[in-house]
Amino acid sequence: MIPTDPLVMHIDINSCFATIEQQANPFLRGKPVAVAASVKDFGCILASSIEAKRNGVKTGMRVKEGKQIEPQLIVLPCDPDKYRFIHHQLKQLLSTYTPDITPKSIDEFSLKFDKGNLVVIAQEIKQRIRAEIGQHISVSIGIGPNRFLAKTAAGIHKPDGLDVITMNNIQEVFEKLELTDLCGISFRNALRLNQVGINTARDFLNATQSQLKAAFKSITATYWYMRLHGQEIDSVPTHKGGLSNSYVLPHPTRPIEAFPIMIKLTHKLTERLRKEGYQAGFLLLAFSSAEHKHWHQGKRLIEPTNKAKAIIHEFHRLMNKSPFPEIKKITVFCGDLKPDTGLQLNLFQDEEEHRRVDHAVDAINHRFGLFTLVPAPMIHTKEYVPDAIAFGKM
Amino acid sequence: MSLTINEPVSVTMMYNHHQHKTIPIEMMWHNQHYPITEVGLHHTCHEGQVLKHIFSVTSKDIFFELSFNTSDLTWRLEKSDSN
Repeated sequence: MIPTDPLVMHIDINSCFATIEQQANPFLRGKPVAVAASVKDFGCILASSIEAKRNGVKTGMRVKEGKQIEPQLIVLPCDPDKYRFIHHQLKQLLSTYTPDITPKSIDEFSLKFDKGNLVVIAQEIKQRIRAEIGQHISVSIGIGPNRFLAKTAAGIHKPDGLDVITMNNIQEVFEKLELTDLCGISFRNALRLNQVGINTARDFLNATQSQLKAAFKSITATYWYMRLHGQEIDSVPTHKGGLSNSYVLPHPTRPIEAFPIMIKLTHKLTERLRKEGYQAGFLLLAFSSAEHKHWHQGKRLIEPTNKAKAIIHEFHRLMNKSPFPEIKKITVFCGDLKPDTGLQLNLFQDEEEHRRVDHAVDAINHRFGLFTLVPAPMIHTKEYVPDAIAFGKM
Repeated sequence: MSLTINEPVSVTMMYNHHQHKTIPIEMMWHNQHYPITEVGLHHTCHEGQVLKHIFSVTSKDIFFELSFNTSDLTWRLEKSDSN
């Protein structure tokens, strides 16, 4: 039984990045378009247009693979400024309906209403998006009693869908869904559920708490039970666990040759740490090889820091422990974030100097653009690590 | 095929105070006039602290990306692409 009325709306821009590119350039409309991290063969496809999706081009594919499936595929580089602008415009438009808006990612919003006919509101939102933001931009809207069910409803018809999940139709809706169609149910979770006799989305909906406990063996079972029965448990603000930057190299590279790129990733990371007012107490460096093997090594810091030089020094030490002669992907991660109160007094003069250098560099780069002023080892890294939007982020 | 141009360009703008809309209506580049037939998208971005307005436009069967620098009030033709 769903205890509440469907007063949550989930809005999802269809094929977001590709649709925005088709909005910008009318000649791309109706054509198979993909936006990729790099337009070269090894580049990862971040979004494909509705036309490209119909022909089998999927997010996560390599550009080469996409072109093999769809030889007419037009591949464009990522333009984060454009996508962020549309995100803010959409947020502004949605804020005229309710103050309770949560951006779930660059292309998804969750809205909570106290009352009203949400279907009528959703239809008006669709019209206003086309009139005020872009005639080619379409959204799928789902309405449900909680965020999970609203998101599930938004995924039923794409593109341009509008669906409602209520206590009256939930059995019927889940009848048509696969377990892995549900957000949060990965292939592995589906296997866990299969082991306790839950084979379909409808079985999942009708499962008892004890069945779910047998499958998940943790508090997750209770969360799923509540979610499936319309209770809201996903509106709790999430705590920022860490910041990371990663980059896929154009070709397998020796770690020492990739060191300038690692420095650039770290500068980007520490600039974000300082901008958001954090210090990191834990660092992690991860490499992937061309053979899809993975290695990572972490380091807990005695003193939390956000100083680029100190963090690069630690990553350099970790890098020397890598077992790979050549690497294809670098990830730098800062965790155990603590507020940078600026109150910590430094015992050593050079620590204070590093802090002041970082702040001076930040001020210059803020005024003239990121990476205007860079350390010497980064001089030849201009074409690497461009601005990007990570999945699920803004 | 998309080409990066990055050259100064002359642009005629029109402001409609009823609709509160400002749109480029004509561009002159290499002594040739290009009437703007459609504005696909107008967005903004920052280069450091400089605010730029980016207009993605078409002139007949050519796509152009124009940028207006609000710091020195100059226009540049950033990209072009023929249909």
